Amino acid sequence: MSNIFEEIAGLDKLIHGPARLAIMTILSTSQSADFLALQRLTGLTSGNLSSHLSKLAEGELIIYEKQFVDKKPKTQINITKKGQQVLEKHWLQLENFRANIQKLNPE
Amino acid sequence: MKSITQTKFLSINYSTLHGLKIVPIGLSLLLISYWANISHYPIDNISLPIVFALGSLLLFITIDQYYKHTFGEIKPTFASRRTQRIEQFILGALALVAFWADVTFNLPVNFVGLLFASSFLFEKPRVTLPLNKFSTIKLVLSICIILASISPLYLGANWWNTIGVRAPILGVTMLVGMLIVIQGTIWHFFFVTSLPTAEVKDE
Repeated sequence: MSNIFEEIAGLDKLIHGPARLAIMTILSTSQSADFLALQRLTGLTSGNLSSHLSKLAEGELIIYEKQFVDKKPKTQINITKKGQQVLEKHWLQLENFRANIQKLNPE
Repeated sequence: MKSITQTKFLSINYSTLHGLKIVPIGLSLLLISYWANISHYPIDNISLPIVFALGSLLLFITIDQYYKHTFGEIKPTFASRRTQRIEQFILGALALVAFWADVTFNLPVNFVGLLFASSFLFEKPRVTLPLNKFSTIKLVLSICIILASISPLYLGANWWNTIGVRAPILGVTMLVGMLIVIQGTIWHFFFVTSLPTAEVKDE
């Protein structure tokens, strides 16, 4: 049982929340996404999304670039190599966690 | 927020699910086929189909801008874009062969129609099990196209003429054009309703 608690403690808190996990998943399946698309796909407000993106960028999991298209600001967001690795590791940990739980409750 | 699986599906197929973008293609196919059906041969003036094609191009650009400004953009991965280009190239080559076969041999099967049906099934997002609402529409429409493409086998060789269609290929392309318009409109509705509306307040 203690192993399971250790596994939970070992999960990366930076991407474990539903919003950040959704952002990272979207970015992992694409070359890049703009701010508006992330907002539409996650349902987050722009303030909340900006805050999540800042934290992910601080952790070097994503990078973003602000451009001006037709005199309007456009933010393009990409996942980094480190971000891809962290996300893959996170999913692997979740799968292991699930497998271990099933071993405890085989029914 | 939607499930991670649904978010991933929407993200991978983001621009493909912008249904209204295929409406001008369907409209153009429908109108040009209809024009070819009612024209007197030999045709000496092709300005009308050119107007249809240009009109649909303008409509496509307008719709594309609408999606970019309203829903943003997700750029697919390089591998995904390369696969899509290869598929489109193969489909284009097969379309020429199918068109040649249809106009050369008088067979009760329409190859252009069958090619459209297979492109409905295999183009991204592919129709796979379990079916989701997007692929259910694609599956139903491709079955309709297959049935129309092989219709002379069970309705008789000249049945298209009885409903005022000059040649099977025109009947099939008019139907395909109409079904593309229907699919595009329904997909747009599905896409918009698939996006989350409520904000997540997890922090």
